[in-house]
Amino acid sequence: MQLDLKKMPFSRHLSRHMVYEESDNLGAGWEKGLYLALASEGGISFIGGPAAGPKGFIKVTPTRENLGQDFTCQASPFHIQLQTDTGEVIFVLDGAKVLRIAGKNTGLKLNGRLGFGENAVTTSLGIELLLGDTVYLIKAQKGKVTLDSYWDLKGLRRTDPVIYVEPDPDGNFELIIYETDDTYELPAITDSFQLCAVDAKADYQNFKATLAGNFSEYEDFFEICTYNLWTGLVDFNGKKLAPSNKMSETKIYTAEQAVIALAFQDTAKALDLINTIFSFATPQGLIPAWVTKRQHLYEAAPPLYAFTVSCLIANHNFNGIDEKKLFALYEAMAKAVNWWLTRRTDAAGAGFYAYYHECGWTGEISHCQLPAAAPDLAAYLVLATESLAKLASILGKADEAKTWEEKSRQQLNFLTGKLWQEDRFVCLNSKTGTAYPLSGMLNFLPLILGKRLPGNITGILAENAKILPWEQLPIIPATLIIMGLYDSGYPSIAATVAKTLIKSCLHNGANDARGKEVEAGAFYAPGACAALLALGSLIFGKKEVL
Amino acid sequence: MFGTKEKFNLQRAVFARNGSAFFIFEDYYSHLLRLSSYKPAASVGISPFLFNLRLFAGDTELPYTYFSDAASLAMNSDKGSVQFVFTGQEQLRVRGQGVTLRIELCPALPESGMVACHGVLPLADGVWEATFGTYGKFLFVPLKGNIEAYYPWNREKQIYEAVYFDFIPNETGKFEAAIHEDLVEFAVDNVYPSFAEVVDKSLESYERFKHNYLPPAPGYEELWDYAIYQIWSHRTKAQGGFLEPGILFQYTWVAGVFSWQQSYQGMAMLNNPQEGWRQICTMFLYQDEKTGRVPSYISYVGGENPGIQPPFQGFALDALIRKAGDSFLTPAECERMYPKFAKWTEYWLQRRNAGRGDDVIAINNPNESGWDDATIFKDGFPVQNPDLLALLIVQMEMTARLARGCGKTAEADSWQIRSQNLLNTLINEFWDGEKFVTFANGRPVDSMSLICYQPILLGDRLPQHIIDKIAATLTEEGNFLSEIGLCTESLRSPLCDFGPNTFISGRVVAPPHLILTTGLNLAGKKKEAALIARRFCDHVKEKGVILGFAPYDYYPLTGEKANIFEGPIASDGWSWSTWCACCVLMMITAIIPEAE
Repeated sequence: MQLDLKKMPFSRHLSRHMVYEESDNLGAGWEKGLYLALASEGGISFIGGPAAGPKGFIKVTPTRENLGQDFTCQASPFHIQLQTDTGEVIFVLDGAKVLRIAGKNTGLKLNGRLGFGENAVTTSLGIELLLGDTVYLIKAQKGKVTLDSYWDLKGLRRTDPVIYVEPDPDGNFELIIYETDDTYELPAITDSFQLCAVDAKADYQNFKATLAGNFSEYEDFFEICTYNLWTGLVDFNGKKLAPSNKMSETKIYTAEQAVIALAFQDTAKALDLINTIFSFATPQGLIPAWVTKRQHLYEAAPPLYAFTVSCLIANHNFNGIDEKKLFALYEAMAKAVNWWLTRRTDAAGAGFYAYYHECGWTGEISHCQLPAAAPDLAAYLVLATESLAKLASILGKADEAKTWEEKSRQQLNFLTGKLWQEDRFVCLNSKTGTAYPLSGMLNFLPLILGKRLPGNITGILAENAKILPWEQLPIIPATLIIMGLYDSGYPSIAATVAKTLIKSCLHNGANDARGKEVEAGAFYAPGACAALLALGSLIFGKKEVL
Repeated sequence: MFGTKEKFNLQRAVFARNGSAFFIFEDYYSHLLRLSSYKPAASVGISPFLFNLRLFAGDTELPYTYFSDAASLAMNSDKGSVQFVFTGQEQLRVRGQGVTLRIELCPALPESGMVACHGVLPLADGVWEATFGTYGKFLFVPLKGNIEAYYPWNREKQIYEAVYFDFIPNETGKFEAAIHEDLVEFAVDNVYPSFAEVVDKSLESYERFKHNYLPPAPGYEELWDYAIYQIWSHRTKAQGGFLEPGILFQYTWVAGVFSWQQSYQGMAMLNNPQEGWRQICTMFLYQDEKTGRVPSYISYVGGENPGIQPPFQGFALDALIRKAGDSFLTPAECERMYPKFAKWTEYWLQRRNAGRGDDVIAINNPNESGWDDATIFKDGFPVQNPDLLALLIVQMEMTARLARGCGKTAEADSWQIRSQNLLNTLINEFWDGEKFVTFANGRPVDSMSLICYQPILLGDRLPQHIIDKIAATLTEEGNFLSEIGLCTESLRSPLCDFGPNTFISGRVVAPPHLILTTGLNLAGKKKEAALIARRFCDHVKEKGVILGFAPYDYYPLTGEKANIFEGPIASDGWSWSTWCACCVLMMITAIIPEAE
């Protein structure tokens, strides 16, 4: 597989290092070219607002006698090669923390950028860019590096650094670039660039083996999705989570983690992700919409985890999972579901969104007066309570299982009763009872209930789903709907619309703005990739022949 | 204390309370009072999370004046009035008579629109919940009269067009309400003591806090009240990112608990050295266990700034002991704090070591000295600067004191020797006969910065000839000394600059006054210290508890007009600050009285 660095960065599992090609698609004035970047950890500065973003960190230009040289670039998932008229430059990732660059018969000029409070200094270790918590340490193993930057006393900041890399008398240079912090605990270096690439490949293959896969169609596309999911995960306080996009939006949305869990065929890994989501809950059970290392947004997001847990039970029934883990899952999930049942459920037992953003796709309900009982929420609650009933049953809690079953039945009755009007789902204002018909994807999201929905409803929805604008729909809900269609007994329609959806991603990437202007390197969102992998596995997965 | 017709209004100060995140200030341009919360640490210059406070009679908007004492704030109009008080439990209480109060979301930048508001939700009993994303959540609870909310939703733009809450009187013409705030989720107990009770508690809290400070020198009583109010009202409780109470720098522009400022605060609490010591120690709660680094600041949302601020704890402890005794340094306290002090001191001595084979350090960033734009940094980095060396000398000595206090004699001796050695180096290599010199890349920096005299903080550890020279320089009229205190760059320096967004390049600024007057005092130059302190404190008494001032509107060296900007900016030209308040308190309760 060749990487198009304008669309996705060269990176590695759990690594913040990235190399991408800036094309300034948004017209923000970025100088075009090859860049080194470091994924932001989503911090905020003390005066409010975001910390320096991840993009446009260091522009890389091959040089000869300090003059920039034209070059061509070939990028594979495990190494990048630049070719100039006179020489070449190779990039590999040595584990997650170290980027290594070697050059022959060429030098490099690195043009960096610093935010307020950041610094660039030459120390005995090399050139250090001090970026908040992060130390970006550039060390010359061969050749020489020099820093050109000074402190602007009146500007209260360091000028943007320019780093010159010169080859040794034999024409070689080699840089070791560490992403570290002020502990300066530097990992050991692998013997050769080749071994770095081999190790990365092995790590990728191991990761790939944990995913659902083996596709009969669109294999290349799913390979790209796999690569972007592999690179999209970062270390978050010891957990592997995916920011919305390592290049452009580094908040970790909890609902997206539930979708990422769907892509794993390794149930333990999927459960770990789900449990991590629950670990962010408040004492009352509210799961924040997003988290960063420094801040959480305590607003509700739709409980997509209900669908994932339901699928895990349906596919694996948690066989082989330690009872303690299941118990923890049950307790945590019950708390989160009870938040919805107590804080967002009216006297009649109908769940509602109190705020537009709680729906996740504000535009879908922006015509409804709040608070609004919505069919997608009811569907999630059906699955959540049903899953809790099954978990309670597995754990030998028969009474609790019955209670959850009853709640699930109530939610389903409400969905198929009051929320289904004149061949479509509606939102209902919880106070006035006013119905607001839905025509967009929210009308179809209850399909995630599969055969739990009456056939007359699924039949109408399946028929109408054919004309949804799949090329434009947000990928995650689109994939959920298609999986629902498949489970509802409409595999042919599901396959057709899945192809339409995937085709829209082939050139434009797996992102919700596909077909519009998308930031360079940000074409593949890990959440969308995971959703597509889960969908692909269901619809285009090669069935094992016994 | 503050008001439309008072000596000080709320354009530069804020109405706030110990342990509460709410604050109210007067908008510089509209003169309307505005309400916000410091928790999201959003600068008022750009924040979308600001609420205008407006009064109405029917549809007619009423002009108002306001007045606040330490506990409550009143908005007064011809038709009636409204009063506010804050509790220490994330609650604002408001009551009114004869008028409707409108609390209206109004961002600092009009183009922000209502982007801060993520929704408004009517709850039972006339209660409203409003959510503002990362800025927090408000719960409006009517206790008398009712609250109406106006929040038209623009479907196409998916944003609110306006957001306001009207507090409407009942048939007797009165309303009363509580507003709760939270960043996570509300846990409301529905307990609402009477308004008067809340006011009393708030006043009690303020009066109790005053006991931390010695009485002021005669003539400074009013300033003493204001300075203590400033600190009391900016004191956080242990909540969110704060593991213990800390003192915020400001609410309006930079709402953080800054590391070295906590030590400035502690050394001024001379009537309660126990609390002063706690204040000095508080940032060690966030010390990095691996490296020993003490972060430069902490904010409510948590996390920590990766930078560092100067090792000021030793100097603060030394001053506290010399002025208030060491009864608080029990063996247990020494045992608790010695390892933390030692690790922090080692952090500086190792990670900033200049590589000379001794304990001289060098820095690569002026922020680590605290003096961001001082001219000692004009020749670049790395620099070996005597201001930090002086702090490290006393830091090592106090580390030795703590070691000795818990029976670690050998370690105490070792720290003491290192401290003495560095003192010798400072005197022998950095004193040029006129001032202490900074070295940049090994070369002396030709600077006329006030910071060249910061080693006077070593007091009587310095040779008398150096003490005499520094005292003479600092009290020489027209050099550093102006009518309002010490300029941070000599008035004879061509680099002297009092312009907007400058800090230590000429302005008369509070923190160096604390350091230099305390140092002179400890060196036996009590009269000189008091003279300087009086100049500064007399000006603050008239102008407010502001971090810094331009001494003139022209440059005496050239006669050139200075660019002085009076409008709201985040630099020391604007806000009242707790950093100035504690400096002033040290001077009016210790430095000035001791000379008389």
